[in-house]
Amino acid sequence: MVSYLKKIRSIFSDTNPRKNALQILKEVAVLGFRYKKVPTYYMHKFMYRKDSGYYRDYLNPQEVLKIRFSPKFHRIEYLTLLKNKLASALYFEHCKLPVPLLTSYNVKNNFFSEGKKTKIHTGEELVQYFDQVMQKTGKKSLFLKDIAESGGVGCFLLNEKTLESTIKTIAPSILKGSFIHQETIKQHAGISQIYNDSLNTLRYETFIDREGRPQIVCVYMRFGINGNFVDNAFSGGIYVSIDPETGRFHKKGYKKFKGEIGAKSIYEHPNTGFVFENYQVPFFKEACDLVYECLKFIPDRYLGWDIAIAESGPVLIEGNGSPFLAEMPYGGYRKHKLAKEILSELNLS
Amino acid sequence: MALQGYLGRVKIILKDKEQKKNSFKIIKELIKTTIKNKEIPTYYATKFLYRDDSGNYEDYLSSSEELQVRFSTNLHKLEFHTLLKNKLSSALYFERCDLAVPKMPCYNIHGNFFSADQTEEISDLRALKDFFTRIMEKHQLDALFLKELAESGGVGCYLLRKDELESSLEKIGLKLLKGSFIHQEAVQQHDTINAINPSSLNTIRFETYIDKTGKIHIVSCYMRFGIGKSIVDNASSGGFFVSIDQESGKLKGKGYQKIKADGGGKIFLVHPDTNVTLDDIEIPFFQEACGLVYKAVEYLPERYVGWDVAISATGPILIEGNGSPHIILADIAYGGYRKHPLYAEILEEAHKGQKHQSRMMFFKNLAN
Repeated sequence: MVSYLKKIRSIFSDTNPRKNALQILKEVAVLGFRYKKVPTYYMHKFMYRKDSGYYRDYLNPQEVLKIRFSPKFHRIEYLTLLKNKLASALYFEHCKLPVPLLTSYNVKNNFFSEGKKTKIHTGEELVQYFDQVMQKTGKKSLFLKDIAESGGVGCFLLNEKTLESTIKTIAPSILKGSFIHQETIKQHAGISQIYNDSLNTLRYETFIDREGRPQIVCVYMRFGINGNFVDNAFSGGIYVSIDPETGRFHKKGYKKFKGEIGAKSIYEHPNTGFVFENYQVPFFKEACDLVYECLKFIPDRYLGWDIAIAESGPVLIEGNGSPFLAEMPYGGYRKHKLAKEILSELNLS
Repeated sequence: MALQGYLGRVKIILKDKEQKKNSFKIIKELIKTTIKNKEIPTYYATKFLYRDDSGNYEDYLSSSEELQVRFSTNLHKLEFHTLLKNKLSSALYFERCDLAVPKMPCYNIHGNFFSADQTEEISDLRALKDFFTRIMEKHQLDALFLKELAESGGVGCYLLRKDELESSLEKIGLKLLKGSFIHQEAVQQHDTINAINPSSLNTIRFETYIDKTGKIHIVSCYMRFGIGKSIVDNASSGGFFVSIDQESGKLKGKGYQKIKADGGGKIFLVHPDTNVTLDDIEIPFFQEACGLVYKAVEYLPERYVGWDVAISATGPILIEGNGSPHIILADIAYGGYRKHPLYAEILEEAHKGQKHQSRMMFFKNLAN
């Protein structure tokens, strides 16, 4: 209840021009009647804003879930492969896609690197282990990801210089959990200038149509903020949509609606002041080509792909079998040129 | 459809020639179980509790208890479930664990065919035949066993023999090119097991549990046998199962066939194709098989798992793990899990967590 009230309060602190109160009430009532639930997504999707478009163009949470989990669009072999970061890392290596080097991984106390297995039980052993991995691979930092987490949860950054102190804090989580350990990607200077503390990734949503043609539904770029080393919206990051034709940023960025801080307009990165509008993503065409290549190897019909832009080109970070659908930048999914086909296949009008 | 299934099962029960409890007793037990578990006890039929020799009906798990053990968040983690549910994921991982597993010289995701030396796109049957011929020659294999990545219960399994390659691919080639399969060497099973049933690879199902102190236990084990010309041993594909005495490593008692809407429910004292008597057969390498299972749990420390182990001429081979195993067969083979010394703790631990909410745990493909 408190959280609802905070969210409602944040609507009133939103500096964007809002629809008038009567219109908001009418729209909430109509959606509530149709959806048969309180349409909280009206807030989450900023539909109270004047520039949000026609409110009935947005999908309700049940419709979103249908797209994310319909067996018409998804197969369990792909969902499980993508959901498990270890499995997908091992598979993508076979596909010879440009992916971060998997230096090592662990399943609880079992640590694997370069074809060798080691049992590790203490923080000291762990420091020694990562120190050796870094020395052997020549990497000064490693990025650890929990193999079944998402939204930036369960990620740790290990640096050579601060290894001991970091491990002291995270050793219990590592030894009780299961993680992949990857090289960190040196991102393109053009992206770094926007925000340098996280690896900022492009999120592509892709759809394979009835005829088997792969399509890019939308693309946006995520950025961390305030020193955070992950870019996910669920971990407080922001995102800016991109024109898929040109690879240029749109004007406005978004932040996931969360408590009081969600409802703000973002036209520039809050830490660097970098203005988003019209920025040309480096290697954008190559990134699109990589996504089409990925779809050959995981031909699931509706997917999300996270692509980083390194100095030398795009790198596949991971695929997401049931991606969160970003419809705010388009003013509602129903307006999208592919929506008719996607929705009609699921009997959603 | 569900009603048809129920009626089919009732018909099978009525035709069952085994000694049954008297009608009054059956009705009394059904009513008591319904009241106690607050659910219609459909398992009373599928676990043969109407038979006279089924033991105490109260020793068997209810359907909701089975589901709680299979899907409790306190016993199952998504990272292990996804690794086991996907046969490619688990094969890639187990290869790196140095566990005794069948060699996987290749696999495919739709038209992408992966082998040690290359990745190639294949779109027609001729190229497919060339691919398998080359792989079999290179690895000196007479056959490959193909398993669809996310199927279970023996569905989506094909045996490709070198000498019948062309005709087999004519039948299944298009399915292969549209689907995703691991291609493993066909395991040569031990003569003793072959003598019972040579048509399928007959596997032991071990159920394992990691207790609250972290100790690994084998809860129970039973062996599955295919019948007829079936190349799989799964109970849901028509096979039957026989309990194993864990102390002696010998088959114990009779074989049970699962009751299905369209048949099953048979009892076997001998294998119907070879006439070999099942009771008291000593399973070769049984202790080694138990050792392999303990090792597998160390590498995949999920708290409740079903492991399928084959016995080859040279020792046990891990075929696959099942993250949320169907407990019904083990419950029958054990004669009621409630009397198992570990099961009170297992149920208690299972109820400490909610059932998983993740759709990933329950997702099913539409028909192929």
